[in-house]
Amino acid sequence: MENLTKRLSSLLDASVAGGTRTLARTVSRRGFIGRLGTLLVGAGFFPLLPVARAANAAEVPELGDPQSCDYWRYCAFGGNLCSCCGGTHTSCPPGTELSPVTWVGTCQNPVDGKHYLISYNDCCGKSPCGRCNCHRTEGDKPIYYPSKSNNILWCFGTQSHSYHCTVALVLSEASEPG
Amino acid sequence: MSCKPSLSSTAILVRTRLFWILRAGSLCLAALLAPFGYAADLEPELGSIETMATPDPHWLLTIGFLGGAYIWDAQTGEMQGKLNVSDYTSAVGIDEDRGMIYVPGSFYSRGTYGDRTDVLVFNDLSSLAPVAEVEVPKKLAAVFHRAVINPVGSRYVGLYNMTPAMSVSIVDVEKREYIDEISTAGCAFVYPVSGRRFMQLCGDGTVQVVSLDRNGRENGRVRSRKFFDVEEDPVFDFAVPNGDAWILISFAGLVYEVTVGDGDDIDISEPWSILTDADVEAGWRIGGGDPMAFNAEAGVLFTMMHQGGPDTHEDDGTHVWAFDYSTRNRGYEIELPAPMSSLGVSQDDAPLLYITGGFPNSVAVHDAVTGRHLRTIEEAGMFGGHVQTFSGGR
Repeated sequence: MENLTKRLSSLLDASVAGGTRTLARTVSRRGFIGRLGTLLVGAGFFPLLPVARAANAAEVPELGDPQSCDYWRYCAFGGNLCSCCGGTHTSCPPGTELSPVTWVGTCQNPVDGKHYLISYNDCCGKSPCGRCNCHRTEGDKPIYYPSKSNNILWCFGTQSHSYHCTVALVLSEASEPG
Repeated sequence: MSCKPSLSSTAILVRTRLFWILRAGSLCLAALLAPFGYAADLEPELGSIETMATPDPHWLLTIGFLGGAYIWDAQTGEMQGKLNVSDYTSAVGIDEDRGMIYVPGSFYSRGTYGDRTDVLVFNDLSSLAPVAEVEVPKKLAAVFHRAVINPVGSRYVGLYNMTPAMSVSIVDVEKREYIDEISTAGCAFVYPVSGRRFMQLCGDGTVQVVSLDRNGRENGRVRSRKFFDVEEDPVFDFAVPNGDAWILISFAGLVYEVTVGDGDDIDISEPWSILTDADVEAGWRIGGGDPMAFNAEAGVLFTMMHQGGPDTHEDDGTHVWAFDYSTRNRGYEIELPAPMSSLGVSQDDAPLLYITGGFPNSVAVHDAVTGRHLRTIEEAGMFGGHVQTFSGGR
């Protein structure tokens, strides 16, 4: 049992450079997998947000390691980094399903100093990846205020609500932090 | 029992040769050895199955992520048994009067995919085995919280749903049948109050009370005045009971008590702070997974504390503070050897305080009146979670 525990601990504790929180630290507190942000139900909701769309989000200048919890896009992240799980910070691992229901954060890009609206989409349909857990609670609110709660599994609108990992997509430039 | 093991969805926890050998058990061993004459002059032992003793107020249940639900006797530190739960189960309903533990769960036909079925499983409190189940809407909330299931009156159980639309499913545990789904837009959880009623916390800074008729269907709801600002200083969503009232505490440490009258009146007490000016200056904050506990018999309120900045309300605690609830003065504090997550306390007149957290999860058991450490239950589930108590517990 001790060996199993050590193996599992090692697996789950697979840390990423700098600032990484361990899975144990997170799940031993409140969440199945912690997360944070603002609920968005479908792409149709986007135009209602106080944002100005960037010409091409993929062209945003950026530096940093997407396998690190300190990566600028992860300012409101909660869960396992898909970049450590066979996907990237913008793509789900093979065989999973991208959740259309997401929450967002507003993160400041250190390269250009601008704020961007980041969509955190869960990748669902497999058991938790268990690697590179990342959990921040800036602006986090209780579950009764779900649009900003980090203690909810956001695999809504998918075939399965089994959580695997999360990606962070730049949606647009944000007109103001929040 | 078959000598051939079968794989289960929790195989991550059990894939060891030793496990399978142990699971095969003495029955198979005897069967294998008998033809070789090993039992010729010795009566072979036969395996048996325990039944669980009757819980007492110092029993607790710990439940955590990917770890199942464990039952412990805090007086001895011994494990009493384990419940089967789904990967999404975050709390159970303990019904000692009926000798049942109700487990809400979501299951897929292929483990993590396939057809989804949501059920309330009735487990016998003695055998810890499932004896019945009631299918409910496929909406059970996948949130880690102990108030996703609670009794509503003596006959019904409420189950919190989230899709992310919020609602509550009602199950008649007497007839073992699903009754209805009640939409509770903007309000979460099931906190029981007197009668066939339950309280919820709402995102507009109020609480809501929903009442059921004798058939388990909604026959009214009332809303309190707005008493907190969810953006400025929200209350934690973990309420603790004080008789028929519920105690709430805000991120900034303001304590409220909510009393639901027999009619439509909901009284919200004036708040008081657990923090002195010096505490605030020193950066003390309440935080953690389930950061507050209360024992009404001793009148002691416990809070999980750490020093940190804004938005650290989920940080593990380094200290536990104990307040005399009537004087609001801090009676003692416990400095923890390692940061811990959640609190619980027995509900009897010789209360035990439970402090959980770490990896693997452990439960530190303290005398709740003196604060003295009594014992620590190690390996109390793989991951930490929250505590539910027996005999008068939450």
